[in-house]
Amino acid sequence: MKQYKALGIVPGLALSRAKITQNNSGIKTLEGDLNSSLQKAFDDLEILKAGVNNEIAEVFSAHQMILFDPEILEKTNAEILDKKVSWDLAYSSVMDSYIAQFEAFEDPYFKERATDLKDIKNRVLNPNSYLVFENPSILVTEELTPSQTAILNPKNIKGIITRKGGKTSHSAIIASSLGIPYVSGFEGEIFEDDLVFINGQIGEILINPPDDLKEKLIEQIQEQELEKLNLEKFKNLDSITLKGEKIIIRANMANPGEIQQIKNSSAEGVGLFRTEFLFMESAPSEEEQFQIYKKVLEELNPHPVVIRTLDVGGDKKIPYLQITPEDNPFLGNRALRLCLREIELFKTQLRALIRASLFGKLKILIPFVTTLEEVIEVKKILAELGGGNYQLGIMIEIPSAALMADILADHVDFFSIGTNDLIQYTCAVDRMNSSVAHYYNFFNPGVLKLISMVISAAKEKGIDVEVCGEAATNKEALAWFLKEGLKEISVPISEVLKIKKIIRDLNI
Amino acid sequence: MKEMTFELKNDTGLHARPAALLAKTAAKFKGKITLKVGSKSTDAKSIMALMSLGLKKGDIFTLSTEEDEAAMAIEKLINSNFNHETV
Repeated sequence: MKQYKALGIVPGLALSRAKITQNNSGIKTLEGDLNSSLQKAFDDLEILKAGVNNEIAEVFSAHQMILFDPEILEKTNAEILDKKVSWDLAYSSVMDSYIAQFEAFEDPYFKERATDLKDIKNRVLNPNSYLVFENPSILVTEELTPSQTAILNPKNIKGIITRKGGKTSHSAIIASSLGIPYVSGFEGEIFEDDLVFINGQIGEILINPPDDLKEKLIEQIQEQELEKLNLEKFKNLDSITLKGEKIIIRANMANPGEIQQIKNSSAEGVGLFRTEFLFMESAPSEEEQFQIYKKVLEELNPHPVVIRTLDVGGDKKIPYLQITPEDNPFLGNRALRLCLREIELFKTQLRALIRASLFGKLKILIPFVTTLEEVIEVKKILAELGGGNYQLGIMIEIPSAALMADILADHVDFFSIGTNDLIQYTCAVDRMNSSVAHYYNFFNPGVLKLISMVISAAKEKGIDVEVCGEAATNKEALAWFLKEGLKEISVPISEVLKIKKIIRDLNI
Repeated sequence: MKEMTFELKNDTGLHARPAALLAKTAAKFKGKITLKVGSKSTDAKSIMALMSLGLKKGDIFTLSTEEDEAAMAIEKLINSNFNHETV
């Protein structure tokens, strides 16, 4: 057996035979002419567009425009005349020169467009090469092109392994919306029909596991399926305790590809949209952000969407922001502190949010608040940027904010308690240092007392309070929160139904 | 001949969506519309030509057209920072 660790992109387990596909099949002279082949590709895309969501349809519309691009047509026709070659060779050579040109760009966004061009070229020259899977398989390929990913049928494709492609690629977003387990960045050796196991959560790949392990893996997958099936029936049930208290469960979200899963999960909106994802490769423009926020808000309306402003620094770095190395990054320039320094970046995000606020129920969440002055400053910036229709809330994850909750409550519309950091800062324990891990304890009475204060302050002042940390997925912690009077929680999408099941068994 | 010079304000440069919007707007008009950057001159109706320039935020470019209406439409698009709503 060979074992590899790669990048987990879409969580889930799968065990199946490998099916290896090459993106660039050999070119042979095709029947027809340039125009009819382009038209066929255009029509195929039109059909595909009908079956996908708006985001993918927009990608296909851009592909359609590139098919009949005047410069490509002119160059191809010139090549046919000058070199006396068939149309397909001419088209192929013109597209290859564009592909080489885009691959040479340093900017990752422009570089990524080479994948789109390869996809378009292949669609025109090999209209019938698009993947058909007769048996359940794990697809192994160099990289997925957007249109390949969109026509993948989860029925026969149990998992995906690619060598290239990161979390922010189009393919990752599409695979995630289809819920197919996906691991990227694979560097090992694999052959057609090898038996492969993947764990999309942690990026694990096992090739040809021995029989005894194979049986265990099959059991794991069956357990996963059985649990999913058992939880299905909770979709249509209310999230209420045995005493009839209604508890709102929302989902955490990291990328817009997860909208469909969230809708299917029966979550009542999004309790934490981490926007870091959008900022990983380059700073998105106001317009790009606006389109994404608008889409999420529209899709989930009338449920609210809590969008957290950029939370980087600490252990989360982004390459294009010059963050001076710090001795104690967790006590340094992170999240709101960084945003107030990189003020244009922050304002761009706030402007996009304000514009998007007209399209649904937006709650803007400011992370890592330490002082009342910061809240006042953020409100001043928002007021300068103009009016919108949103609520403003802050994360309570620093003890100074928790202690001042009754005062802060006068200035904001809601609190979101971030238990992970609050425990770390209250108990002075580094979450990454395993030798002090036993100090990291949600049930430390000091932590409980702080959280209890925050919940009471919010109730007294009549503002909403939710919990979005990992503690909300722990049964005992959840029971404690509910006893304290908490009514709203936000959990990972995969936990929504599990939590609902737990809540329905609590006598609180 | 009308010539207009702009500075690109888009954070991520003239990438697929703004290039598509510009090419679509230009294609609505009959006459030739060219975009010049330094000594390079390209057809503004071609999304490929526009994207291949790899224009980044802060880059300066010149558009030339014979038609006043085309000039107005393009100016509006660029000044709105490639808003969806303008097309």
